[in-house]
Amino acid sequence: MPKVWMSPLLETFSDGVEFVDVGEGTISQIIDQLDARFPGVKSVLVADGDIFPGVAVIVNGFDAGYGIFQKVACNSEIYFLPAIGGGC
Amino acid sequence: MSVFEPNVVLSKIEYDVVGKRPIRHDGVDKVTGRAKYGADINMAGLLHGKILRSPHAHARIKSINTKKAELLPGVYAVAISSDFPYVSDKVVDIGEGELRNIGFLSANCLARDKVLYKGHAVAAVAASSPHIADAAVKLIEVDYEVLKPVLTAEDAMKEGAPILHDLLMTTTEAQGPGGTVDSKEITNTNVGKSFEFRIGDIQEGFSKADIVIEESFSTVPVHQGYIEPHSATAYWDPSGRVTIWSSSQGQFTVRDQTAKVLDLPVSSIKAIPLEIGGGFGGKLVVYLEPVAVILSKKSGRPVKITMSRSEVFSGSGPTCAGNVWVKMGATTEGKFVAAEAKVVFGAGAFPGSPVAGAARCMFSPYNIPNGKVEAFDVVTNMPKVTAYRAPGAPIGAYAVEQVVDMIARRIEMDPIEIRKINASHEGTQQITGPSFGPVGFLETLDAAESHPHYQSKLDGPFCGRGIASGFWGNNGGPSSAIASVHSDGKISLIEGSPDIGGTRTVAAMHVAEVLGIPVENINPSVGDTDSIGYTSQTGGSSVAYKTGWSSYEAAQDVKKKMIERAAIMWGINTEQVTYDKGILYHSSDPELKMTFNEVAEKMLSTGGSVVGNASTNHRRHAPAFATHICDVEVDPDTGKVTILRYTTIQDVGKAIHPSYVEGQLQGGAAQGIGWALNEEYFVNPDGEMVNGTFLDYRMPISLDLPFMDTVIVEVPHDGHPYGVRGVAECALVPPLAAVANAVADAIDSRLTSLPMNPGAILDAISSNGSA
Repeated sequence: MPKVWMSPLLETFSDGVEFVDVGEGTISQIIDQLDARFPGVKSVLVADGDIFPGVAVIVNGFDAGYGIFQKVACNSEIYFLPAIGGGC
Repeated sequence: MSVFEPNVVLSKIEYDVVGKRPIRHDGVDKVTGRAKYGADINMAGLLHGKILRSPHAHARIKSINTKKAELLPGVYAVAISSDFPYVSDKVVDIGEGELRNIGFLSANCLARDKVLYKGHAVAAVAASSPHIADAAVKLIEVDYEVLKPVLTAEDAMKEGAPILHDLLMTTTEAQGPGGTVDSKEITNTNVGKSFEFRIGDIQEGFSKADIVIEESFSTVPVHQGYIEPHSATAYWDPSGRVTIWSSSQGQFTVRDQTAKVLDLPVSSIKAIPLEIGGGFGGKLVVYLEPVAVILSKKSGRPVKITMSRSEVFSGSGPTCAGNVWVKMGATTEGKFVAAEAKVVFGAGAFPGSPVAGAARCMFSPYNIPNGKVEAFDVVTNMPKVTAYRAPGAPIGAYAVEQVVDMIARRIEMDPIEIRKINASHEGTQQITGPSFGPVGFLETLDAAESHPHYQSKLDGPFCGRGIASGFWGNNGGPSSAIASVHSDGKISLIEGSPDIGGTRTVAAMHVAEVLGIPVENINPSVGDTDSIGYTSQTGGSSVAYKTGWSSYEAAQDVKKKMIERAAIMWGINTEQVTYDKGILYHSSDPELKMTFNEVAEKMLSTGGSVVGNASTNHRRHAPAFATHICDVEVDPDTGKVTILRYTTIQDVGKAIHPSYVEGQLQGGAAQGIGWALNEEYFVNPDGEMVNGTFLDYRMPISLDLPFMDTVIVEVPHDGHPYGVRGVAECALVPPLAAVANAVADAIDSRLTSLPMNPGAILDAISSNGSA
């Protein structure tokens, strides 16, 4: 079962719960699951049907290349973090 | 004269092309001056644009009168912010997480109701010559209500500080008994964003520490210092199509940002990339392009705007000033048990400093079970900062790596040993949450420890050695490549990444390796936005990874099609054709074989052109770690710091072209040395930068630097065909701290702010009595 780490970005909604088990699915579906359990989560993660600008979705240590459409497999760990910009 | 010996360790696989050092495809054009940069564009009817910039750091614009300028002979158009469409304050990701509020982006190109820094663009003129344009901007009358500026993040966070934006609000809750909320007050703020990371139990962690060291550090804005100033040319043709020629870190970035600012469909804009004379993150955002487009629309002529060096300093983004407080706890055995930090970055005029880069990276080299980082992004009346090579990470490392050094000194432990004890490795959970995959930090520390530099003795008074490490996550993203085979067997490769660090050759090397043909047979070029599929910007040390990979896939497509063509010629199935190093073999008859060139020669009679395409979006990029060794000598009479010897060691996964990698490592170290010792925006109390030329803004030149040795550590990234990690940015993460630790070793006194210029050094020496 995938786990979502309720980072400080999200913990105001989760009342101190650190990890949340969610059902398999896309990131979009997982955010909906979180929002159903912790109302308001979606408002800080999704804007205009996409991941909120500046939020990085990390699945098992890597950026989710498909954003809200990324499918998440069993035993995955999902993190929503402030994104960082590049320089070169 | 020293003889350069490539110093590559841990390379496991030998390739035919990858890992070799071919001559760069663009080399001749660049050394002969034929390469076209932004300002080299000329065309019939071209007008010259100039920008009127604010003389005040903070003022309300009461009125702008452009009539006199418009009437000057030779002036074709004048533009102010009301010529831009109104765009909402919607926040968008302009790439790799760098946020831009489109309203703010528009207001940074041409100020709306307020100017927010000295040098802020207010109006623009297009004229038949640069001189007339210069004269015209002086005729524009702006009535300002001058406001008090706030120049540092520290001051901007104080109660009663001048407020830059009415849009930025904060909610303060007054708590009553039992934690109930009595009342809420909504007030303006200069804090654009704040967040924190936590892991473990910070109090419990520090309770296990035998030693706790805390210190505050500060840095001031420095500029990326690219050689080529910003330049953009635009033409709004009679059909309403827009063409933009500019040097940038992303033609698609230019197109998309300009479209958003001007509320145009992206398909109506063609952005043509030109050669780029350095970017380092500073050319990820538009300043001139939307202005040139509007001037072209109004004049009906193409318009070129090129910044002067002073405009680059005052009107384009430097990196931020940073205030970083770090507290770390360790056992007497050198094990880190807790770490805490507060990071405050000045974003300049609009929100969006690289504070997340610092917060996410600063403790990443170490396995620390209990940690907390608080981060604040604060607006000030300074130019809006933009990315600078591993944005934010060098400032975070500057603080953390010094505290690590202080702990090592306190417990009398070797500085490499303490890093090895605590080094992150596969499975280490970062303070941000995710765990690392395979990484090569320990390998860089081993290579540093055994390097002749570290094994050598450093004698002499006022000489010191510093060690520092650094981390950068790197990036990936969408990328496209098209490989077109010619009938002579050569290939034109069009790819979408502007080439800053030799990446077109790197892309060509991927193609040559796949197809087993000489890299000289590949002619790589960077396509415009109508000629190649979307490719995310040249940033995040992503291009060798993502565009290398799209080029690899395009070459695989070519290989598949060449096999099909050979099968047609032999009248067999494709399964009966094998391809090895540019030769196609008939599997049932070893005597039957054709070269790549022979198949290419027949391609028009076997089905037409052979074109390989690939559009990829690889995100499984891998992080890089680096460790630097720096020796310095300090002159106690003048305060001058001489870099005696410098060695960079970095895990790059796989060096596709080792010479480019070495250049990136040396370049990062050189920039870091300048940042550490000399570079700074001297800003007077009115917010004016008073050293806005390269004469006064002291970047290191070759005479300031020793030969910098490089060690390429290769712990291959298992998520790339050849094992590539990003290179460029991580190279700038350790040097600030490496130099600082060396200076502390030399003068037995620690400086906690940058730059460590002669005055600061002399103050430190006199305060500890070591002179």
